[in-house]
Amino acid sequence: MLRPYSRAIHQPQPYSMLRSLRYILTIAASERMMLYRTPKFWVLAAIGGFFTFVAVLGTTIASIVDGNPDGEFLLEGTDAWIALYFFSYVQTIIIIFVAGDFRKAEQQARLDQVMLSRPMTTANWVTGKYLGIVGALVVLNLAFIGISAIGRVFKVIFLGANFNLLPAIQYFGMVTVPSILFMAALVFFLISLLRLQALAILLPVGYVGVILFSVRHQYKGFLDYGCFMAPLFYSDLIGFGEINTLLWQRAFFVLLACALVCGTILLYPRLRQSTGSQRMTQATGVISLAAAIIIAASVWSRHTARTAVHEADLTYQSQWRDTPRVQIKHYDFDITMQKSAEPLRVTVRLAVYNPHPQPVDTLLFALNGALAVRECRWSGAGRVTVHQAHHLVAVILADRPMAPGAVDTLTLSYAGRVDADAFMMERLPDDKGVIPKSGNGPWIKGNIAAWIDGRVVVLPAQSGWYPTPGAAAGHPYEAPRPANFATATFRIHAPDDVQVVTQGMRRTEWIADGQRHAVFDVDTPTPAFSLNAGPYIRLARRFPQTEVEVFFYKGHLLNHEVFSDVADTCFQTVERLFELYETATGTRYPYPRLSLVEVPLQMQVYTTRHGVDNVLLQPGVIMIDELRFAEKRFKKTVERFTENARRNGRDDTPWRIKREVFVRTVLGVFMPDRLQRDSSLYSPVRNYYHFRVDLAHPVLSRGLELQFQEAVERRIQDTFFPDRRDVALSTYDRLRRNDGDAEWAFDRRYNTKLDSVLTVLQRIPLADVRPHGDGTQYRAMVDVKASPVFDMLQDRVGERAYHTGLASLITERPYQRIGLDDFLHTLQTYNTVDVASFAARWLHGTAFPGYRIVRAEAEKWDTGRMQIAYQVKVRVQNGEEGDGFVRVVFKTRRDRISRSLALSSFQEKELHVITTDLPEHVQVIPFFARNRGLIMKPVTVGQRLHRGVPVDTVFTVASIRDSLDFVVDDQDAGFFFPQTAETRYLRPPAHIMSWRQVTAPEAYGRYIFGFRYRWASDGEYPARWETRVPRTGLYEISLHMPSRQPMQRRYHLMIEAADGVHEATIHPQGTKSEWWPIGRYAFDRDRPAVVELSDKGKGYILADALRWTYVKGE
Amino acid sequence: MRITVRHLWKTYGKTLHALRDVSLDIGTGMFGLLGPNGAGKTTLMKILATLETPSAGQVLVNGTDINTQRAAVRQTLGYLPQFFGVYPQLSGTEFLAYIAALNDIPRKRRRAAVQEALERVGLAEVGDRKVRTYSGGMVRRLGIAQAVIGDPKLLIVDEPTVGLDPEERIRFRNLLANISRNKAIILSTHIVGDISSTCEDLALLSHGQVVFHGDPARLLDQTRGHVWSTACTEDEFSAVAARMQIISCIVQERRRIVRAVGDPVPGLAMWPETPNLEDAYMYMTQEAL
Repeated sequence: MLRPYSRAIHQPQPYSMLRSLRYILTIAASERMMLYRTPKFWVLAAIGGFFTFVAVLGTTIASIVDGNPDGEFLLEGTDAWIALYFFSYVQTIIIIFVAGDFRKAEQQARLDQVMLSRPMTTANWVTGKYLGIVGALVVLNLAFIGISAIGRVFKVIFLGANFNLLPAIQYFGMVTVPSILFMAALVFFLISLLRLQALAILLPVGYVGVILFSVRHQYKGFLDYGCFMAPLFYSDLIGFGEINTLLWQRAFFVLLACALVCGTILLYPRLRQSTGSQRMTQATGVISLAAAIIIAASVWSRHTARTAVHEADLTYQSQWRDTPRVQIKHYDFDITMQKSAEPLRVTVRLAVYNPHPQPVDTLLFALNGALAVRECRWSGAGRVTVHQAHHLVAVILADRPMAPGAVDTLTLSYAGRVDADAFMMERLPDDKGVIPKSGNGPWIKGNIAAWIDGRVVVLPAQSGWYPTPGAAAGHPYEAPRPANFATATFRIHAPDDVQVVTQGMRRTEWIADGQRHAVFDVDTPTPAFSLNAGPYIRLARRFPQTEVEVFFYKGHLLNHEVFSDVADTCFQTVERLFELYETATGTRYPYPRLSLVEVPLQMQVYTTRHGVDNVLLQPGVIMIDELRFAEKRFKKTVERFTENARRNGRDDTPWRIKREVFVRTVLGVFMPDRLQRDSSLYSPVRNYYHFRVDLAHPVLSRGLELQFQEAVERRIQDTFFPDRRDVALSTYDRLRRNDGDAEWAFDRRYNTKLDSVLTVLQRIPLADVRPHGDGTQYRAMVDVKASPVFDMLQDRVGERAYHTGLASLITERPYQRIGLDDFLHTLQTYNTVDVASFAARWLHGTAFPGYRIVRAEAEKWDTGRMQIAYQVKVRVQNGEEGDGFVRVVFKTRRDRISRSLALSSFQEKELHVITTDLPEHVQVIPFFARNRGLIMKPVTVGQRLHRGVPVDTVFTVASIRDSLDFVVDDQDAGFFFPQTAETRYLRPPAHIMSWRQVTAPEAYGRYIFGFRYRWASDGEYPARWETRVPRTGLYEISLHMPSRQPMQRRYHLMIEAADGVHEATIHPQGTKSEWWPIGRYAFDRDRPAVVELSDKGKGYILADALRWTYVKGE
Repeated sequence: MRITVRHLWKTYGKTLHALRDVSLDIGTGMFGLLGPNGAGKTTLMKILATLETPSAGQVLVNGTDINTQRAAVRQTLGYLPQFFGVYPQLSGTEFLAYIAALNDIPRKRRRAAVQEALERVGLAEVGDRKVRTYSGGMVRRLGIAQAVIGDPKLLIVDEPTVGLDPEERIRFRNLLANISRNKAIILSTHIVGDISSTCEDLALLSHGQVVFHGDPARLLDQTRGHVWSTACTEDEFSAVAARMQIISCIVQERRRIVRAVGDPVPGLAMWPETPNLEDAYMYMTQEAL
């Protein structure tokens, strides 16, 4: 028997938090339950589950396929959090639609009146519904983490992985929960405010779209509620890294969510139940909003203050730039790394040298301001006064100034952390100076410029972790800070599981008291010292030139043992690589060791005001981000290469395949594909000269480095990949050629077009290029022109003389400052070519030639020695103002012959080259020209057999200025379409397809090889060539047809000649590119000569070039 | 339980008066609120259910002003609106459990209260079925169940029988009658039959005004002498229709048997009839015009 329950009558239960909480939880539970029973939710769950499943299964399978003993595919624990990250995009949209049903659900169910006449407060009602949605989504995300956990358990059991879900849990707490809270609150608020579900859904969708596609991480990330663009990377070395700002941003969104929920309650269309509840809601809303604003303002002001401090530092350091600088000849470091508030403790004895003719009473050193100087002792004088401000340490020697030429010892003790803001003070602001790794999303570089926590230490020299003479910043462009070359001794005390990497050679090492103690010596004067430490595994191999060490995090260098059976063969390639470096630079690698050390994924490369400084490349040490190591899958790559080789009928011998994989890996590290990545130059070419002399001139410094880099890259292509069809090009060659991906890459890298850069270079000589603004134009100009010009110079003076000159800089002026004039002067002393006139033309002038191959033929010769020789005749033309040089490469079936050729303005030269191999094609490689794409032509071999001995020669044919045989190409100004598709579009019936452009090497071109085409129409869209003939008379006109193009058979042309308008029809057929004669027509030099190609007919119409050939006079 | 309505006005905009100076006293038992569509019944119901505020006037529930102490009123209130739907994702039991929780019924008693409510409305056997599978009548009964769960002392039922078939309507009336002990039930309807069989007290609203308030017998008394029948030709019928409110008309071969309220047509043979509640409703609403 049921006993009826009766509600109290007129004895309202007093308001209590507990009762409110009960209401909220009830409503939330019901809301959640109803959500669980909606298709929307299960669609969301299916998508999320799919992401997680794919991430876990994919990475598991990948790690099994890779045979990785640690069971990891990427960085440890990345699979789970990366699944959550990608799911967050989908979740955003689903939240909007799920939360968009707030109110609508009751209205549709006709339950709103019933529910709102219940005794709970509006706050209870709204909060309950809000938490119901949030709770359901949180549970869903937790379920995904659970799936990840199950996957990881399998990995632990079967693959030996570590159980690490921390990244996913951290991401969930830091990003997912605040995102759900905010977006659901925003939708609730909009629905209460606007009372229109559609608008309340559309607005947040638009907001998300704006974040993803426009705003991104602008406004300090305070619009990016979902952290879609936040620099969130999980690193095996340092976890999520510096996330303080991110946590403040998350707190901001949580508080904003709270304020929005309060706003929703207040705006909710229900009669107020309790004044107290309303007041409380108002107060909570106001407090939350105020707190959010305070956080935003605080973070904003911290940013502003940081910028101000930065500027103050810079200004302060500028004041000290002219203070006489001492030199440090030797550093004697005693470094302790520990996990504490002061993770770095250093005592350093400096051998200070006064190079000035007068005494010095203040010793000025740049030192990161977060490292507090504790003690300073001056030899013989005991403690001395020290002023430390703005990342400068001034040691006052008032009582005992340093005598001219004296060498004394200064002992400095300092400790602390490293302030990342002291890192490259002349860098661009953060929003412009940060180098994205690749696009956006999860792959944006983090904001870590230096890292130190006692166990993992990443201190590039530029972080100012050790004292260097003089102010670090504030120096004028023309007189940058001189480098200080010094030797050093490092005594390092670190946790025993930590490997330490410096410029030094390890002299001794021992473990005592749980600490690893090591002594390193740097015997060669070195301009910069870096410090790396971490729980690394070390692989090393001694080569004749140097010892190469790789320091990597556990589990990152996957399956490297696949090379063990071919180690010697593989390592020969490293030796070869060193040889190529030596050949390209003309000098040996200067250090006894080259260390490649993994650094956290987030490591940021700041952009200086005038370019990317190579901060991850230190003398003898190259820091490489950990993902670059972790993504190497040797076993899988070997299998793929083997499969490809078999498919293509190539040699699939295991040792050969493994060697190829090894070579590509090594090259991938030293020569990353710069079209795709904006990483710094990893190549050690900088070590060869830049760390041994102080190359002060930025054009020289950057240009020389690029020249070596490109030279090595081309040589590598030639050496390791000789089967390529065209000649070896460097990455920058491809950029300069500006075709395909290169155009996109150029635009992305320099934020400008190659043509714009070339236009500026026609006005400004290379030597006068000066950085301004963010320096992108400066970098583009130097990158486009400097390296080719130095290549040209090397070609002119000869490689041997060039290298001798450079080597003499090291031997005769070691560790000294070298300017552009010093460099040119040194080169002049080693050869007879007029370097000054070359410099006048190419460094101080604006020459800008353009080249084309006019003719490429070969004749067969019977030399009488039982051998057929081929005399290849090639005509190359420089059709522009500006003297230039090109390399002409003759490709035969088995060989490649290269010749250098100088071509002055408008000059055409013919080269004859003898080869016994069947010539295939010829390619012109300009150093610096206005050409785009390949300049290449197949060689036509004549069938007639000549007798005798052909000669190898070169001679000038003519100046094309006087030519009466000229061409109007589709790229020229004289080619145009008299009626555009757009104008035709306005007059129906319209055929809106316009002429399209395509590049093709078989097309005619001066510097750009391509043609136009369109589908035949009714003759409404003709193509027209218009020119002025140089002399009145009869001309033969011909139309150029690219080869092998599907096209229509009849071409209808209209010719406006001197004697009136003529019509002609031609029937071009054939499989090769050729000129099709149209006829002979008289043209008057005072009237335009016009030929118009109709688009009438069937099939594709092609328009390429039209040639006028003078036949006779009037 | 006593509900006192004094000088209640509800005005939308400046000129649309949904309620005009309505004053009522409602005690325990079934109270019928009768009136044609647009008379202001639903507005009055919503005000009583604390879903709308009056423009002027006062409503006291056992002396508690619903304008200032809504929480107290809502705690005693069960409400079935004119249009009632359900969460399609929930079963009847789950839905009632949700409402029970919102009605602050302790967790320990909730299950019993839900079961009792389902039994009262005859849905105990289908309580576990998803509500979306219920018929229209079952949904209305579930509506009653949610309104009566926890045994509220004030039950407001707005047009509960609209759209129900006669059998379901009778069942519904009986259900209301059964639960009307010790509580005030305000039943708003424009179907006279719903009131006649269940209410001891009623009010008749027309154009926002109370045109009658009292027990049904008094309403019948007031109508007595104003209900007439006649057998008339087509021409005479026109005269009757023009002067009186036709209640029913039976068309025969040569004449029409007409029942009408109002003053009889002079010169036409008409005989008085005993009024019923429908006649009274029609008479009073016609009078109000």
